[in-house]
Amino acid sequence: MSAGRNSRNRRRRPARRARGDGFRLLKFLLVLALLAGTAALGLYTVYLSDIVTVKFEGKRWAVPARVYGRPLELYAGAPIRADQLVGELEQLGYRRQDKAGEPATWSVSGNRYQLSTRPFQFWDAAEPSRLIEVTVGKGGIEQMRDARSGTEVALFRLEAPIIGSIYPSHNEDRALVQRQDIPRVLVDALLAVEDRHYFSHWGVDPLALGRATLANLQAGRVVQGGSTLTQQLVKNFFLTEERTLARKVNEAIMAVILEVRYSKDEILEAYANEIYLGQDGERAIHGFGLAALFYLNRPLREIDLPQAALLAGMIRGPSLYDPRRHPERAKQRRDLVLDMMQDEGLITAEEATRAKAAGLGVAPRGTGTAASYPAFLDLVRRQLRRDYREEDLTSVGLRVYTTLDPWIQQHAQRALAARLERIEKERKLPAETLEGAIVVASPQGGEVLAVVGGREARLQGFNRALDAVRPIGSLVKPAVYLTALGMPQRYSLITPVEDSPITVKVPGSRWSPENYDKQSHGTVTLETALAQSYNLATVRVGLDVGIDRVAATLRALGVERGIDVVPSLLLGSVSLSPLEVAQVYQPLAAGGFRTPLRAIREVLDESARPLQRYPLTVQRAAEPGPVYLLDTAMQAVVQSGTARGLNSSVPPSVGVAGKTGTTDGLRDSWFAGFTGDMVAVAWVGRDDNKPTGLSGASGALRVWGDLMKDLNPGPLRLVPPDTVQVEWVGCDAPAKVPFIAGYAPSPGQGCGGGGETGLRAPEPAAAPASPGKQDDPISRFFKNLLR
Amino acid sequence: MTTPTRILMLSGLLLAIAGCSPAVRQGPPAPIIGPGGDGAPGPASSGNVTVTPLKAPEITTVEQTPVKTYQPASSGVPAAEPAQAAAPGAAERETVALATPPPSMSKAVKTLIQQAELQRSSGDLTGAAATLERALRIEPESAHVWNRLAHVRAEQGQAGLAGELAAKSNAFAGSDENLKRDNDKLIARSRK
Repeated sequence: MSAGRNSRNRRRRPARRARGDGFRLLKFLLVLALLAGTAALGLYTVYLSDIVTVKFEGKRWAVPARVYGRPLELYAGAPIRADQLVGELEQLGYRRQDKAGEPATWSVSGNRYQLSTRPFQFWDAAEPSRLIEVTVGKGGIEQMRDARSGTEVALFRLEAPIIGSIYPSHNEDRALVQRQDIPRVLVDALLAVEDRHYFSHWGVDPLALGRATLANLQAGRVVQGGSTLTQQLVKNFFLTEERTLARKVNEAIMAVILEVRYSKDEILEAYANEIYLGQDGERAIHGFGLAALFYLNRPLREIDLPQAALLAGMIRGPSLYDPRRHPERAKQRRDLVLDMMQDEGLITAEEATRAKAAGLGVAPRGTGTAASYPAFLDLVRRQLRRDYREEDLTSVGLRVYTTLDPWIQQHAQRALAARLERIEKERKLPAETLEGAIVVASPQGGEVLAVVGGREARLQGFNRALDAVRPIGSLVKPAVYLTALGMPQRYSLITPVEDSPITVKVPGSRWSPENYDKQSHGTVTLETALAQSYNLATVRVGLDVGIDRVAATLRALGVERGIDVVPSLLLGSVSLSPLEVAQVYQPLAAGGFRTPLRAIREVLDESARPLQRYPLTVQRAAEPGPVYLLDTAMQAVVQSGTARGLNSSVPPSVGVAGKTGTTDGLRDSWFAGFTGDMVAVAWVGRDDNKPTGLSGASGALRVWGDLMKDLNPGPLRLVPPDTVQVEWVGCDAPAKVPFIAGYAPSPGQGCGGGGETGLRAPEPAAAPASPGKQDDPISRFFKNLLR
Repeated sequence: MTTPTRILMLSGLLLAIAGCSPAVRQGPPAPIIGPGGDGAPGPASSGNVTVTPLKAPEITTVEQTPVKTYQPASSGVPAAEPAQAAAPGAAERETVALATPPPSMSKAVKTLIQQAELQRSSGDLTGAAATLERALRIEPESAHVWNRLAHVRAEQGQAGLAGELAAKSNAFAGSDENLKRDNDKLIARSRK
């Protein structure tokens, strides 16, 4: 038995040993393989860890430069009416309440507005949150005081509105938030809908990651559905869109690494800044910070429960649940999130019910960062590119404080779009064939207040305000007459000039310009020639003073482009963009002082430390005397000349000075002019440069008038400089006419008979050459002057 | 050892390796808003990212502010002067107090002029210029403010610009002969 047992044992033992050895070998190999695998995996992990660390810490999101418009200055006497004040508050996302309380709220009682402002870091100082009471009358702000202390406030600026950002070529835009800026309600909503155990399953038990990952690995596919926030972050942050097992493994390992190396709050903050939440044209909306601004027009920290639920609900399908395009679906989704929050015990049933009753609170397009001023931003970008590297603009979070006046900008956009549509209808033109552009600047400061690059102002595309370089036509005439008035011994506003056919020899041919009405108007005053935009008279004056001098005047006024010094220059053959025209007219609106147009005031770095200012500079471009005379003649253009149609939209008391412009075949319709506080240029034409059938007066002038109509423009008060004397001129109905001092006719001269006018005869080139006319030219031009 | 145990060990090892891997954490994991954070979305603080404006094409159109030493004007600490501002300062300062603001001036602009004067007298010429430009946005035709700005530019050594600004002031000065005389001095100095 025992032998048998032994033999059995013996027999068995080797077998067992063999099996045991085999097992041991297997075990050994397995361990070896595991070790090797572990080592390989370890190395790989180290490698991934590097990637994670470098990216997570080193990448720093490319934070686009944030661009701000001008802050609204409030002070007693400011010409800000109630509609503008309310409009600006709405732009800033301020909420109207029965009583202004927390920052970004306002209330009104009668004509007294209480504003609880947001704090804001300006270039020069931090403006704290204040409760201000503003009394607004018909003419503007009448009084301002601190609502808490009752003391008078001399001056206060609202925060600068965000008007856009300069994002990199991959078009990701974001507004970074810190962990403490993320409201509790948003975190609750986010976790309820995306990752219920965020705060427990990763940080507390990191081994759970391995278990979960391995479950997926063993199954060879993802069995644990619903990525955690960390995994979502990893996926967005480091990996491509491909859906392979390898990627899943990488994702898991990297998620572990993230969890090990960073705290929950750090990961949550990263997630909140990374997550994709929608599309605005080419611009991708990333992060809750920007999403709150984009959809709700308020900083993230100001959002409430229903808004938090709305944003959290959008993660699953930003375009599917876009609250602007699909408000119903977005509301259902939001309410679902609220239900989930209630299930989790994060909110009470009562809170959920109240939140569901709330509107979506979505800001209309055109407010806050959803407002779009691509033409102005284009100008800002071009100016910045001269001074900053592209990667700094798009990645290090610069703050750019610009000169844009959103109030004027919005009026300009509306004026252009509405008027072009109306003209097309009135004239039975094919719809959407007319295009246009507007530039508005401040006369003395040279600040660009508004830029409209086309009738679809929201669309980024051909920026006509900067890039439509078109012949300026009669807009050039002020330069011709300014040159003439700079020669007071030869020209004054009442100098008779001959509007009669003229032929000019040009190399290889002859040039015979015509008037717009194909008529000649005989002898007229210089002022009338400008006011009525007579071509023949202008060519005669221009040839008399010299084309080269006219070109020099244009250059002094600010034309930087090459100018062909040819006779047709006198009728505006030079091509300029609307922005360049604005630069040329700015010195005319500022007494002859040229201020280079600026779109940027200051640039601050990411920590709001000032980097750079673009200061106000001035340079004499023309003598003040001749500019004053010219300006009064340009007022005559509006009072009685080619732009008199403007008087139906702008009160004559504003005293607008300007000039219409029309080019050959009615291709380009221009008006450039100024009030006391705005110099503005409007252009209307077609992109294919075909005729529009519009003159300056029937196209651009009407756009210009529409723009000014609602803007309450400040009156143009021309102050005669010391070098100007004003004299009574004329006999039957004398009128005051300004002259360069020392060059005025003596009083009473010009009355009671022929030649003795005291006016110096113009040079031969422009001399009257129409012996057939019997009228006394002098009495005729006085008549013209006074009509 | 059961398979799960081994896997646990493996995971632990992985984590240990990951935890000890050489990439050392150097800063905050994600960009963080700097101290200037405000109601508006803030940019990232970088710690080590520096942006230096490229050299401006026209030196007269761009003011570069030395970043490190700047303090907001409201803190009472003077801002750093631009490099070129030092030289002609002291001589200039005495002439500045000449002009008194006209009674017609609004309280808002008076407030800004006082603020600019504080900035100027404390050496913050860039800040003073910015404040005066703000005043000019409110009253663009104030001869007095243009004159003040001319003085600040003169003090910064920008005599040419000061002369132009003084001429601009003259254009609005009307019958204020004192102001005109003062402007004429600045203009004369700019032509030396």
